[in-house]
Amino acid sequence: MLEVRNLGKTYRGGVTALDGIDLSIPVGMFGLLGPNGAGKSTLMRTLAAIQLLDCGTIMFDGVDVLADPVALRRRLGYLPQSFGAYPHASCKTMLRHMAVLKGLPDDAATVRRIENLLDLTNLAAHAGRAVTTFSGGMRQRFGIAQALLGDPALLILDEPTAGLDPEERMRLYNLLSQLSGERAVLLSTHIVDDVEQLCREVAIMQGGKVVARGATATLVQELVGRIWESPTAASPKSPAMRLSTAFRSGTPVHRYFADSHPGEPFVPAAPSLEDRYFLELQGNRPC
Amino acid sequence: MLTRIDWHGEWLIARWHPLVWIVAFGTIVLVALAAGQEAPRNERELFEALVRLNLFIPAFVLPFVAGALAPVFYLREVEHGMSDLFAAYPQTPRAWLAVRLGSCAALLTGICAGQQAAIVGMLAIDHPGQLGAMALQAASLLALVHLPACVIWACVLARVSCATGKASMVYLAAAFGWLTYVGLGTLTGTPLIAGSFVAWEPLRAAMMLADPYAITAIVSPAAPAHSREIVIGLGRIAWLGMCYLLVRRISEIPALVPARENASSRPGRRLPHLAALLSAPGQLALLLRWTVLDKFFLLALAGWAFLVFPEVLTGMDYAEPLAVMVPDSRDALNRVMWDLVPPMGALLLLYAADRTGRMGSATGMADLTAAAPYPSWRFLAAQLVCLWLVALVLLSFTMLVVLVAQFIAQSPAEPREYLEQGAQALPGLLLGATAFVAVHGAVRSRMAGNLIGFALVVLGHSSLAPSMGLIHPLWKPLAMPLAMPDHVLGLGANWAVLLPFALFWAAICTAGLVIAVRVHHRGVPYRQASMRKALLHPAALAAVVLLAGGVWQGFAIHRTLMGDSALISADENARRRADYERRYSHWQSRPQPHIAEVQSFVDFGDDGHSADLRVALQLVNRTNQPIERILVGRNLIDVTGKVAIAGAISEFRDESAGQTGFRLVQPMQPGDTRNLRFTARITRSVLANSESLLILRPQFASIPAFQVLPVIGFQREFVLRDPARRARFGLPPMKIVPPSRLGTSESGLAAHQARFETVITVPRGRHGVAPGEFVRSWSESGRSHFHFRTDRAIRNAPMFFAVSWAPRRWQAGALKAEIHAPGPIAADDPNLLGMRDTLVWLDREVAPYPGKTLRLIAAPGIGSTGFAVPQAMLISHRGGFRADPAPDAGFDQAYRRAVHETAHQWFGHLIGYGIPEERAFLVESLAKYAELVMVERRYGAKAMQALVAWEADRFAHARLVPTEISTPLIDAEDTEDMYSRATLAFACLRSRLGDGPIVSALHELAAKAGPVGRPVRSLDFVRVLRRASGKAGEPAVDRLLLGNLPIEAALTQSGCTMDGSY
Repeated sequence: MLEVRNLGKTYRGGVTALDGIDLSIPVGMFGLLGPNGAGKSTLMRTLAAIQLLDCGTIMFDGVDVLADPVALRRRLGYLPQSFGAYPHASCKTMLRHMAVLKGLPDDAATVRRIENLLDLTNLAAHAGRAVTTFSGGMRQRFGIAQALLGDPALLILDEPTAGLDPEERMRLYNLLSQLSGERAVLLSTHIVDDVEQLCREVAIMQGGKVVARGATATLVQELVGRIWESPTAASPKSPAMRLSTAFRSGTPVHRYFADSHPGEPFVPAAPSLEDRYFLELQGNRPC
Repeated sequence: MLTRIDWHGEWLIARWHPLVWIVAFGTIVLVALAAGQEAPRNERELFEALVRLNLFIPAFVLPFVAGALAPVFYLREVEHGMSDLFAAYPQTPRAWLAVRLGSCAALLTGICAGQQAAIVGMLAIDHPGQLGAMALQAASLLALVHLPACVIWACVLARVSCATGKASMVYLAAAFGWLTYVGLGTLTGTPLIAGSFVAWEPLRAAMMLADPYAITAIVSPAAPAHSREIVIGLGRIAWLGMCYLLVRRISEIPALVPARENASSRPGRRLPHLAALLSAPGQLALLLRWTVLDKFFLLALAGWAFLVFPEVLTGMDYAEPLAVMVPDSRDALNRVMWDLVPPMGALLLLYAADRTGRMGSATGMADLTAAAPYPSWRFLAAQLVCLWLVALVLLSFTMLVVLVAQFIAQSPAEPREYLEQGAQALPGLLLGATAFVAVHGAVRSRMAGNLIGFALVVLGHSSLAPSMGLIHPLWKPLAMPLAMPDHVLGLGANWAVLLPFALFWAAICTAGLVIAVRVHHRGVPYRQASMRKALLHPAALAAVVLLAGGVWQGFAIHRTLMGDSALISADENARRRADYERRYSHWQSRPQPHIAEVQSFVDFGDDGHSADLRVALQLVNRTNQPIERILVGRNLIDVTGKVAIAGAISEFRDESAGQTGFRLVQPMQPGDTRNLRFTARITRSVLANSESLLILRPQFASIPAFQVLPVIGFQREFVLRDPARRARFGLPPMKIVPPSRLGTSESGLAAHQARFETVITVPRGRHGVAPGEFVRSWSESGRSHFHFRTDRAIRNAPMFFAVSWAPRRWQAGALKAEIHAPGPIAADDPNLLGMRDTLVWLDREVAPYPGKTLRLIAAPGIGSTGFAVPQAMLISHRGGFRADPAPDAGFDQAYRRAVHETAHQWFGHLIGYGIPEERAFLVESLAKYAELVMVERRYGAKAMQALVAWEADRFAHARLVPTEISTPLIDAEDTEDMYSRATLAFACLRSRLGDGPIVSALHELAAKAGPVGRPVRSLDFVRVLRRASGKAGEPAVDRLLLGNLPIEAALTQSGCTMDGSY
């Protein structure tokens, strides 16, 4: 659905945000992971056709996005990492305004669609309030509602669950899962678990490059039998590579990557996408 | 900890802010340019210029500097989204205030000091020896004026920042402060702002103490009981005390303010009806809501009404100092439509353009809207329509306020005038709005967009471009050089100006808009289109076509202005004069003929904008040598024409200097005559807004032939006199002998006199006027012809007129007084009374009038309110025919002016010419004497004393720096000396000597000048007056006319006072 080839972007000052990105994003949920500064937001803005590239091509359903950004925008739902709202407009007016901007007719059908979206995002009770007076979570739900206006074929969501409480987060993911059946949903988040649960495919970015890409299950599967866990850290001489250190009920848990058992007190552990993420960030890749 | 922030830390932050440097260097350059315009000729003028420029800083520069920079100190956390973060720090308001306020005041003071350095540096270029004294004076002004002013502004804006938490409110406060001060300055007659006219004396007295910049106290004489320094010091202490009270009430830093505001704000609550009206979801409605419901915008509109209403209400009947008129809608609208609406409207539109163009980024919605499939052209079109509506609202609101003021003043409102003036003012605003939309659409950086917009406003609506030598009106972006309509020329000509300029700027703005659509940033800080792609787009071709159309139109304007000779800058003019002197001064020693007779045929065209001249000059050799070569040169007004001399061949033609050398086939022997023929077509479009005497309009036309006809030989009057300019152009220093040391003249007045015969043809319904007696008039080929002829030689300074008003005639003794003016003229009309009284008195007491008729012609605004040429005078229609004395005037300005201009028939055209150095005292000062006599005879001593008191006030206001030594009155050429000081001196002399000796001296002088006598000098007058006044009167004559004591001291020593109550 969305084909990205050799994307490159270097900012003034020499920071390379995108460095030869190749991606193919099909229908369904697609996760984008990466540390801060990896280039995720630049990629999102680029795919949303609001930032120019130095080089590369973006094709969406056979349309050259760089040549005709409006063609993409007509079928796009975009939720940026942060956004504001006009102070003199209610939530519903704002959605009507965004619908007009998206080219939807300002008619009863659109109003009904907006009301549906307000229900869907649990904002119906607050439709008359100004978005500027919303809490962070409500504002995020408004952002999702506006992204869903016009039934977009491509949804680009940059940190959509930021500020949402667990219930809202779950509600959103359920909604996205339903929606992803017939459209591409590009989801950028720091919450690796969410991507693992929701996304069939995932790409991990670092330093402007895609360092890993594939089906989520495959990326995890490749680590089976190579993840080890221990309450203590391994000795510096150990061949095992530390991936993460976390606390579980107050007890430290160290997770390591090694092709073979690194010795006591390590025990085998079930691999996760997070292990793969940390592994990729350290510049390693399982053979 | 933030409590430990030190000055150094503040400076580190401020120095990285580009606005700090832009404002600092921008204003320093601006002030330096203003200083560069000064050309002080002596030490007194140098220090006056220094003081004046220093006072310019707080009055016109500091409010803008403070307004621009205050948010950097007080609101930077709010503006950069750090409020929550900063508010959580353990910072006490007092510590915060101490550091921020101190830093702000220090930076403002530093910028003022930089501006002062620029002033001193510029003035020191021509006066290096005064550098130290100027620096010392500047330092004292820094301590006395600038430092307190900076502290006051820092405190006021700190309070506003803390109370509102919004930069827009800070800008509004600064603008409001500036406007209020300008308004007060207008009422109190601050010379920098409003000349010397004091509208309300009690306010001026209060402002002596209450002026935040101490300007009133500095430019006014101190109250008798206190010294100026004490008044200024008390004022500073009072203001600093108020500032302390102001900042003492600050209990919260601005970082906490937005949180409170956001929590309480609800859309549409305050303006439910408007919000309902604007509740549509479209982009335009949203933009309108965003712009119109903005607190700053609404306050700005309120402030605008606060400025416009009193200006119109109190000023619409103002004719001139001490004179009022019955105002109509044109007078009311003129108060604001031409000098206030264009710049203020442009500034408000720039603000609105920032709101609309940056709405996305300001609200955080930019990414969302940028990603929508909404084309850029529609974003910009919505912004454009929004701004156009704002412009319409602003203009309608302004006219509504004017209408209310008219209603309250019971002045009749004329809808047609409102419609016409509104229609003429609107295009400028619409084009400004278009330019601002294009700039904000094309430029991603908000600051850069606003700076470009502000630069356009400043360049377009200030004298910055002309002060840099860029005199072409197209250097004033988006400005329509429209003239304020008067009741003679009307509004019609403005349409002819508006169309070409509006077309030019419309083409440029539309091209800019097309480019903006292609490169529009869509509200996000990322580039949206590559330059290559934008250039290859068909729209680029459209932009090029539009630009080419604009250039073509600009070239057409340029050619028209060139035809009007309206593009000659002061520098270019000086260079021409320097070249003229270098190349032709040797002709001074060559014998040249004089003009003895001028026969003119003047054909004023039907179009109203052209005239054909056919002139025959009879040249006569009055020297005792044969003349072989004649130099015929261009006059002051550059008119291209053909010159031919019978029996002479052209030897050379110098186009740049406008000189033609003729060699006579047979030399002119002494007493021989030759005929010079000059033909020219003079055209004047309405594009150039000139205040010259050459006016060619359908309603009124005047040709100052004495500035148009060719001149014979080298003209000393045309050379540069200013020493600095002479040095700049490599000319040797000029020895200027003041009248008090002038020797007797060897040349006779005949060289400057001629007989005139003129036929003027005008379209039917108009009337021709020329020097001499009216011979006859007739109609032929649908045109009217008027024939005039002088019966003797008079001063060679003719002027021709074509006016719409038939003459009305009265007797003045044996003479005739003729008036060409609209409307009825009563027998007690002050102009008529002034003319008749003066004609009778001077004809009888001083010398016979050299003719039979004096003509008075009502004139449009020509810069001065009166002007006299031999046998005719122009009186401003506004000041002369529409004005009545103000209730507290004490005398009638119209009568005074008519006397003054009539007196020039003697003082200026009978004596006072023929010697270039004698151009002030014998002309203007003696005319002031005539005013005193006539006003007293017609209206009594009280009226005369009121006139003296007014002149005393004018004189006091004109002098910023009191002087120990004055130039002798007969040498002085400054306006305040020629007019005001002369009035005081003659009032004193009259009280000491009576009119007898003075009139007797004038009579003797006039007899010497006679019809073909010799030019007289001021010294001749003084000598004769001394003799006529006897031993007792001599000291007063010497002291007042020749002495160099300040006038106050000279009057006191002569037993007189400044207020004329002797």
